[in-house]
Amino acid sequence: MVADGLNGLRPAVGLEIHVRLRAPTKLFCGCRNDAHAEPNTLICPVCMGLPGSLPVLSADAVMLGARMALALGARVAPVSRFDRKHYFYPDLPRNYQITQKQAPLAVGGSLAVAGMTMPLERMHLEEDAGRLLAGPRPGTVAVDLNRAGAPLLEIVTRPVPAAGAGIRAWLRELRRLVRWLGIGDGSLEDGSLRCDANVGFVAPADRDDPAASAWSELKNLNSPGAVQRAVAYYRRPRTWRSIQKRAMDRDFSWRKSAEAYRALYRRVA
Amino acid sequence: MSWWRAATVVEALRRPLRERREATAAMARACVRENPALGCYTHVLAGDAAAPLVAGPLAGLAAAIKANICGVGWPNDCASRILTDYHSPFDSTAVTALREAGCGFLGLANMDEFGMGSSCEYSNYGPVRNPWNRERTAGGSSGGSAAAVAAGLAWFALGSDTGGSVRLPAHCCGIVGLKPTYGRVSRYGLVPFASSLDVIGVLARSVADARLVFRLLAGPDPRDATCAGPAWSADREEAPGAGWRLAVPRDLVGGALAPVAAKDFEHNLIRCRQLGWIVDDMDIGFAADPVRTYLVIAAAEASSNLARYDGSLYGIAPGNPDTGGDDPPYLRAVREVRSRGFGPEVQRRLMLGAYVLAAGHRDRFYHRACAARRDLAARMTAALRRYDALVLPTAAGGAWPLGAYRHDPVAMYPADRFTVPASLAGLPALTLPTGLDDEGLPLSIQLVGAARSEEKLLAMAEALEQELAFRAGKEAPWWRTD
Ligand SMILES: [Zn+2]
Repeated sequence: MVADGLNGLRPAVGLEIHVRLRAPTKLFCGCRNDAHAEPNTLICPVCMGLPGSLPVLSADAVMLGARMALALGARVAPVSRFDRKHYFYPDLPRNYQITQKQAPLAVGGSLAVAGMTMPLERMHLEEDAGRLLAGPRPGTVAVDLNRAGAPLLEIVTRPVPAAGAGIRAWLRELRRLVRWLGIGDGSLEDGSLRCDANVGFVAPADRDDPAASAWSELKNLNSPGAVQRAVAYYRRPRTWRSIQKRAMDRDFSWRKSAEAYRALYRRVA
Repeated sequence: MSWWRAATVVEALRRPLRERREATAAMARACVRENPALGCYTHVLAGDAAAPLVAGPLAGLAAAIKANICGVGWPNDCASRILTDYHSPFDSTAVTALREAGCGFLGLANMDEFGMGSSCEYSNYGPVRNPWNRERTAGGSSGGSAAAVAAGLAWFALGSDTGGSVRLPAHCCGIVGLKPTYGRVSRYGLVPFASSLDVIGVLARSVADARLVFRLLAGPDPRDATCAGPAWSADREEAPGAGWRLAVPRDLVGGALAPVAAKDFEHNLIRCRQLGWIVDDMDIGFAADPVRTYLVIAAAEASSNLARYDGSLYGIAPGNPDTGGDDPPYLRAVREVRSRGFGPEVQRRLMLGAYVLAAGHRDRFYHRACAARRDLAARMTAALRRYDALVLPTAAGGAWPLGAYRHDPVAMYPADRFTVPASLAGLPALTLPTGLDDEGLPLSIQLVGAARSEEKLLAMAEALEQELAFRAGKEAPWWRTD
């Protein structure tokens, strides 16, 4: 393996699959959950993030998520929690996404397809963001918030050795399951099923602990073929690095600005 | 002096509806006339808003609403430039309850921007002046609500309390301030500062008035998942009687009081004993300074809650983006709006919050503060299993001069030292005016009760109110020439 310049590192892939749930309402408000309505017709103070509005969790979304979790043999947590993931982006009205980080809806489970078993890390509920459209004037951007707050179930797999064709078949099977259970439409084309791939390298000795290795996230791979292509990127390190850089550009971390306030903190606390 | 200047809601309700309506109309005219000197309102309302023709238990009366409590028909800018001309398209649950009771609204009460402050000087509209002495603070952040009620420019007011923002202004202005149990009154429509601490509270001229309004507000709300109620229950009321047990957390009171305030506090404890109550000294045993714990948690939550103000959907629009280096244009526009729209105190707290939440700092600061909070809540709850209430001062002395902390804003933070413990523990607390200091400024006592025990807390406060026989409406000097 030294010949490919990877010094014995083996590629591994972990998938993050977002399933838009077929719940009647959005995740935290009573707005109809419909991806095909006229822009900004399905919005309310909650999903617009207006001051003073409060989210109330939809029981339908929880039931659908639990149904998927049970079908995949995951353990549904007796207590799960929601967290806020912060970043500034125009399609995110509150500038944070409500998701589950610390205590997800379900953990574990697996799905085996044609001899390939993909173990699952976790499953959690989160809200979708809005959609950016071309604005009324050139150079401007408009925001459609119909999708903002739509209920998503994110399924995170454990990293497995990258094998493109197997992953493709696996995703097809997962989509069939989503449709058969009535969880969602499972359409890759309109984004009701989206897949991100985390591609990383695992040193042979670390095979059991992929978390110790370097990871890069590839966003919104909207067909099983794209996933396969992405997994192949590791063989072209330059392309991979540029993708990696783009992914990191999306991290609007507050770390930099926070450093400046160390002195203030020392005073008050 | 017109009768309505000093009358309580309960007294007004004994008069015919026609007289109440006339009094409220006179009050509305007084608001227009006197607000420029006091600054207690950001906007004075008139017409249907002030005098709705709705029947109900509060018909003919009208309230002041803190500018961070949403309602249709008025601007809800939270005294911040960033929300200039923002009109909420919905009513908060608290405002709905008052509307259904037939209550009108005299205006939006001035406040520290987004509730961050203890003196009502951090407002886009300038400071609120204390009706007892216009060179003094009215307290914060619900200072406009307190000043309006004390000055006879509202029958009562709604405020919000995150770390003492109802109780400290009530103390400074010599009126009653009730901070309910966290989650007993809906927060729907209250613009958040720190969501795990925020509570809508009542500012009133008597304990009976506070009870009357609280009864309308308490109860579960399907739109606020943290609001479990329960509604007011007559079964929970207790007849005032001998044998109530109070405890004074001496380690919190310490030597922090001004001499005249310390004297008043000890005197009030004697009056409690004269009512036949038992008053014990105790130590809570705080593991960490409650004010610091509060500052870290409140700032962290604020930095998240206020992230939404970016000038894109509402509020002021972006101007010329700053020279933001190689940041994308959208981020530069957001930074420009937030730098211009937030005042200095809000910026300070947002930066502090960002700092304590930053990766690498979170465990050391934020998670440690959360642990200190759990410890403090457990200790206070345990004490309240043995006692009916904890007794504390509300502040270290009478209202301080405006501008006293102009050059050292951080030095004002300890003004909340007696009020943050109940906030951190989510417990109900009531500030009751007790008398005047040697400069003629009001002093008070604070009772903290067990969770969801407002019925008992109010009964206790009412008994003490009768014993002390102090009422702002009777003592206040500024109506004599009316
Ligand atoms: Zn909605």
